[in-house]
Amino acid sequence: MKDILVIEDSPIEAAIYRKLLAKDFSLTFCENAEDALITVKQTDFDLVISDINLPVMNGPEMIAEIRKIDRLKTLSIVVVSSDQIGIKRALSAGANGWFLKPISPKTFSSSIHKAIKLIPLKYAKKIAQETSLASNR
Amino acid sequence: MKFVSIRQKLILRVSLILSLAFLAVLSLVSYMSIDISKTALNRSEIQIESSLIAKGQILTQNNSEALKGMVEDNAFSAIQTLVASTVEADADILFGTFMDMDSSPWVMVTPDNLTGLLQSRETLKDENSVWVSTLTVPSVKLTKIDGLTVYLFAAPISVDDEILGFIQYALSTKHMLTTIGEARLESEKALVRTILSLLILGFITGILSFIAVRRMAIKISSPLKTLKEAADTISSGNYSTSVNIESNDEIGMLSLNFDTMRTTIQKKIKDLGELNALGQTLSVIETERDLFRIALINSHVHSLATFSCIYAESRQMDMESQCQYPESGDTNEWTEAIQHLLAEGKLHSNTIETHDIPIGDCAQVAILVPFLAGEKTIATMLLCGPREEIILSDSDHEYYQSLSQMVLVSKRNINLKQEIEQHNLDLEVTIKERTAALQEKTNDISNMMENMHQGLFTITADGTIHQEYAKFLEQIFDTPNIAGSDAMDLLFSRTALGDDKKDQISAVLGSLIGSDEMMFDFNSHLLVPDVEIRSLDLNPEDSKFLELDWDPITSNGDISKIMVTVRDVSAIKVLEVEAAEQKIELEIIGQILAIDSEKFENFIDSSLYFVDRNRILIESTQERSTDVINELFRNMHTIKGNARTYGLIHITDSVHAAETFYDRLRSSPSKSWRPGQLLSQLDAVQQSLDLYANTNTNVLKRGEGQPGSVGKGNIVIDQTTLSAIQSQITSLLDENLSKVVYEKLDAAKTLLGLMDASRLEDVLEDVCLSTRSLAKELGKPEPVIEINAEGFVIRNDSKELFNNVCMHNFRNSLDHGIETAEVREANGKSPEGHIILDASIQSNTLEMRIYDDGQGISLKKIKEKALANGDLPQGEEISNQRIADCLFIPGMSTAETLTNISGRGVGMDAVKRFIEESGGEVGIQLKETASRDDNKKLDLVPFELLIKLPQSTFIQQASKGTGTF
Repeated sequence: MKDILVIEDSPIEAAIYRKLLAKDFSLTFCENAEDALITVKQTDFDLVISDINLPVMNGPEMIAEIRKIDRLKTLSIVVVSSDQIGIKRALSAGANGWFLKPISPKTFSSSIHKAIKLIPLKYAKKIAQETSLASNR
Repeated sequence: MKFVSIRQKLILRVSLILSLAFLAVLSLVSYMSIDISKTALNRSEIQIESSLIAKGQILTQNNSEALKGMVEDNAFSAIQTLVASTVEADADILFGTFMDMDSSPWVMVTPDNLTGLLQSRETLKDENSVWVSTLTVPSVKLTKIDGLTVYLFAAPISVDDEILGFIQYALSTKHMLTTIGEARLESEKALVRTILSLLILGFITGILSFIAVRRMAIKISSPLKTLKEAADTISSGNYSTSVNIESNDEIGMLSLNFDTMRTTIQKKIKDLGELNALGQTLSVIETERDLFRIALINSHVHSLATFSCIYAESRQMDMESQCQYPESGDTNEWTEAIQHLLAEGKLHSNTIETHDIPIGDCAQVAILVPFLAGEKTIATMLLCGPREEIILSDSDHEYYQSLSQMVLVSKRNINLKQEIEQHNLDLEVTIKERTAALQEKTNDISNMMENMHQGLFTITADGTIHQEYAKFLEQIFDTPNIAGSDAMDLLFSRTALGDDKKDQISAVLGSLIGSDEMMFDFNSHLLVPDVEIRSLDLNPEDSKFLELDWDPITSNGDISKIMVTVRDVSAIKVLEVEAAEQKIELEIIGQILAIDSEKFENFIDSSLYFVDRNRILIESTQERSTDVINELFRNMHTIKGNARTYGLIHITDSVHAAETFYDRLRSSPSKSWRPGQLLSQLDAVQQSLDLYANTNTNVLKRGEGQPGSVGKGNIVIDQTTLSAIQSQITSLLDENLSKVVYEKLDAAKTLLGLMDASRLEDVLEDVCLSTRSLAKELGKPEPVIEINAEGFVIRNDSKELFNNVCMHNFRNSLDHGIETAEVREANGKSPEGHIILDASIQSNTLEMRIYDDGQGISLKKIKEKALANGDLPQGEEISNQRIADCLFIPGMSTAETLTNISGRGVGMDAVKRFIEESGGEVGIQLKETASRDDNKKLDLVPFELLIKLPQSTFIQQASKGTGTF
């Protein structure tokens, strides 16, 4: 079973994630970015799902912190945002994917499956392209 | 660094060394001379001093001997004369004194008083006189008198051991010191002389050696200077001036090497110039053949060869070439010799080297120059000539190496150039083809966009509509020229979509463009699939239903645009509604056709009857009444059961709604009685029944009995006609008729009656079917229904009664009595249940027993429920029979959960009511099982339903009938 870290401060939304994903995935919950940064350094996750608005340190800031660590540069991270600005910030901080709220209960689990499977592939492809570009120069 | 010539350095250094050596010798000689003279002086000083002391001692000694007699004789003047003469005779004596033993002086000769006569003879009390007066033997003492170092000699003058006086002489060292000083002065003079002569000698030697050194330095350094000048000349670019220094030493060697170096460099420069010129020539050559030819000519000239040629290693390259000097010379012997060697494979090498070429008796030689592409030799050049002329020096080696590399680079460039030209040519063709294809495609697309009857456009990164869009969009949105306008505005400004939803869509679209295509899957559920837009004139009739398809257009895995397909489905919507109605009608027709026409009419009639009955009940009841509600429920439940049996599903929906409502009303006493609501529900039921009835009569043209119509050997008699005839016969039979007439009429009546009757098995056919399909719903195996009927048929007007009664009971048996296959097998029963109906006529009464091999009824639960409902008195001993009879109380159910099928407890009270309305009776008969203990007895008890029905429901027959379904 794939391991997912969910960073969500609202207990209601956390409960929704549990309901939609607990059957297919092994879930770990963090209520804030600080805890998440500690957890993510200690454990290997297949995917991180993060809210944008978190207390103290927000989602994009946290993602930028995660990406500073060499081992976590390729960690798959998706965000769940309620607006376009959040998505934009998350992507420029290094997120690999995004969901605009409200998420679809019907397709969320399958989307997460897909994200776990495809994001690492796409990432590897992108790296390969960039290195081949760099070597051409 | 400042330049200092070797000559200067040599002179300076050698002079310095000579000067230092000279100084050292000079210092040594001086030191030694001074030391020797000092030692000699010291020695003479000591000698002079000791002779002084000896002289003093002898003098004093002599004087004392001489004085003895004089003192004895008191010969004063003799004493005075002796002392004065002694002092006068010796310049060293400072003074001389004679004094008596009382230290009174008799004579004291000093340089001031040469006579030694004294005016007074006062006792001498000075330190020296005191010392003298104490002497007993001659003594000497060194002392100082008036700043002069003086040796004081004194001796007592004794006669016969009696001391008569003392003589003393002071001898000064002054004279001695003067002598020594003179000697020192003399020796210093000698020393100065020595040093001076040394200096003069040194100076002369210095000058002479400087001249010698200078001459030698000039001699050594002059070839060096020549070399330097030669090097300067070379460094300024002139390599032609030769250096020639005749010398048998290192300098000579150096100059020889230097000149060799100069000539080598000169050759190198020349080679380089040749190679450069060759390189320039090669760079403009366009064919490989010319390339090698030019290289050959160059090498030929360079090597001064007589004959040169170049040949390819592989036959694929055609570039054999040759040249010779003099041009008119004969080449045949060369080519023959070379061909010969080539055939033997001897002229093959990967390095530049020389090779012997035997031509007659001459020793000829060739330089082999391979052209190497990687490790493979593609061609070899031969430069041939007489051994003494063809020389492969190191610089030649390098020359040929550079040349071969240059040729290969140029060859590669030519090949590359040809390739690029070919490639460009191909590319041009491809581009032309692609451009044409693209043009065609663009034309197709714009044609399609012009003519397609669908709205199609793409949304660009800034949220506007791309200029290529389907013209039909303008028609859909009644807006011209939508290119560049805002997509959100176009799609949603005339809809009832909330701002929140619009923001969502806008955010999704904005974020999707530029995102990975996967994000479309993740978020496309937020994009609405259809929308209703108001027309510009705001007329609701003209509003349009649009279906929207959203698709991402991707490039390299990222979404670049969003394509939107808009379909105007307003017309389709209308058609859909119509189609749905038609679909229902078709379904209804299908359901009606599946049922026997008569049965269907019976169903409609009985159902309409129950609906009417309920209507009357509702209209006539002002306040809530449990009895009324129970009857309402029973009637509706019966309609539902029948409708299910026949599979008339469009009736069951409305009936189920009404029934459920009644059930809720019944179970919650707080709900108030609302006739209006109940009637409207009833209307819905009536409508659904009418829909079926109308379909039957109007569409299928069934239901109207067609009297007199003749089938194949059968006749169809209208039910009402038959009933009329039957009642006429019945009334006739009451008349006083003859026996014959009566019997005939009675027989006719029975016959007519049989026409209007059916076998019980046939009557229950539908019920059995329905029960079996119920088994499927419940996930139980189909039960075996066994109907044992003999000696009677059922009057058709009582069919509904049997149907209703049996349906409830069979269904109850299957739902509550018969266990699941697993439980049954565990209890040692067959997996399928058995439902048994035994029917027989006992004294003009139809007796029916209905039972099953299921688990029985739970008396315990019935009792609990009845006690809770107040149907049984608390605290009394109650018989099992009395508990079982509670089943007939309305609202009693033993099932723990209500199911859609049965289990509302309606079955039994409805059954009882139907039977009693027909003049019959019903009861429960418990079967006692001995093996069960008391507790179990109370829990699950097998039972039979015993029903008795009057003669009006059946016609007795002589024959017997048994059927098993």
